[in-house]
Amino acid sequence: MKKSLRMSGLLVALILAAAGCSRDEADSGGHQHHEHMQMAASEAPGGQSVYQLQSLWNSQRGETVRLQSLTGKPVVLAMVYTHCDHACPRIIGDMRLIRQALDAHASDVHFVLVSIDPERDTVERLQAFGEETGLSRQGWTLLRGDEVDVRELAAVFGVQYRRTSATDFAHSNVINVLDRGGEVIHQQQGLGSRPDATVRALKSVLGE
Amino acid sequence: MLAVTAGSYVPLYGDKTRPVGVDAFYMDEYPVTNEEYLAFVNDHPRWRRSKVAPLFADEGYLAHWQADLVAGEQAPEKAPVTNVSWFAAKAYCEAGGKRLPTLDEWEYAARASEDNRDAASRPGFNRLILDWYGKPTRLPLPEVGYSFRNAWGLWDMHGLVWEWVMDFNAVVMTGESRKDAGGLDPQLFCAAGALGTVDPADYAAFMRYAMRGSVQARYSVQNMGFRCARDIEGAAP
Repeated sequence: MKKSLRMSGLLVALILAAAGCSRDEADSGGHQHHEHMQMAASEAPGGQSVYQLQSLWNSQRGETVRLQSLTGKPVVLAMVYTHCDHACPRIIGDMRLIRQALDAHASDVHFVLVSIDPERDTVERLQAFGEETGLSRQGWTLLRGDEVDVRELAAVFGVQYRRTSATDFAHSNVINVLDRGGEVIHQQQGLGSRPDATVRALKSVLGE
Repeated sequence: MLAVTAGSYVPLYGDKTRPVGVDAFYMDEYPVTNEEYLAFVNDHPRWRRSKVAPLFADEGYLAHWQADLVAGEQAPEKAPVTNVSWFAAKAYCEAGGKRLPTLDEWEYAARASEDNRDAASRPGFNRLILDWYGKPTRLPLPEVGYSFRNAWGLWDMHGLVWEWVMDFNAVVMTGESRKDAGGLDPQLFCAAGALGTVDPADYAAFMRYAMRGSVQARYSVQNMGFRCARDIEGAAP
């Protein structure tokens, strides 16, 4: 119950940050969410921050958000597509391992998937995928955006991808870790890597 | 801008039995010049050398310019602007209601020689391109309108500068991190290894793919510029 409340607070924050609403209007989700909004609203992203990107994204819950709305918590983010049979389920599996290793701190970290296949990964598709996989229940955020914005985000992370057929993409397998301000502080490469270094990076942000 | 009509081509990575279709589009006749880029940074302070965010450009950004708002001797007005990151090139095009060309659009348009829209398999044409790739860059760069005007009317698609494309990061590599720009796809290495037997057309394209695969979006390269493109209204998306 606590977890789901916290998530709904985040969603309110996401929606309102995107809409540019004032903090007062957002202040219905309790103290923690209040803090989150404050950070999102008051801190301009630094020169290395991914949150300088102004692109708009649709989540599986139907909100329109800027990445900046993730400000305040560290982020674990990968670029995948939901129709992917091979690498992507493994990337998501690796992210689940990271989440497990965080134990009680899992809810202090945003877990985010961004689609490289916005054509087929509609909001409806992301919603269904989030439910089937149980990711939505755990508070993960699944995003889709315009093709150019996906390209730009990939460029920021040094992620390469290209469509190889009507149904498939070749893509880098990288899990990115962002600090509270959106700066990339760690990249976990490849599939099935041990999550230790990534978890350490996250814990250092969390002050462990 | 000039119109490039729809067609198809087989990309370097492609399957020869399945050419990739390219819709009609507009493309700039010349690479963007220092003079034009100066006007852009005048209007958009966040893209000035002293202001640009490190996420979007490395320390080499406009390094050959004399100052924030002075191109100077090393960057003649009519010469193509270089030392610009992909982010900067993209922002420039968008500010003018345009966009960067896609990799397919660029490669498709670049297949034209002076008199033939598809000269890519002509050995003489590719010899010319490869000769250019083999020569060191002449600095300061000459003015645009330097090498040749191709059958679409586009100047300097080869022979002056490398050019950014929208999906430059569509070359999938093995060491895919922004910290590790090395490690090209083994498929590409094979093409390089088989140089003696490979169609020279493929080798010229290989050089371009290798170049794209070796850069990151924030890099500033002294012989890499760009030109913009635009959809043609009514053309299929």
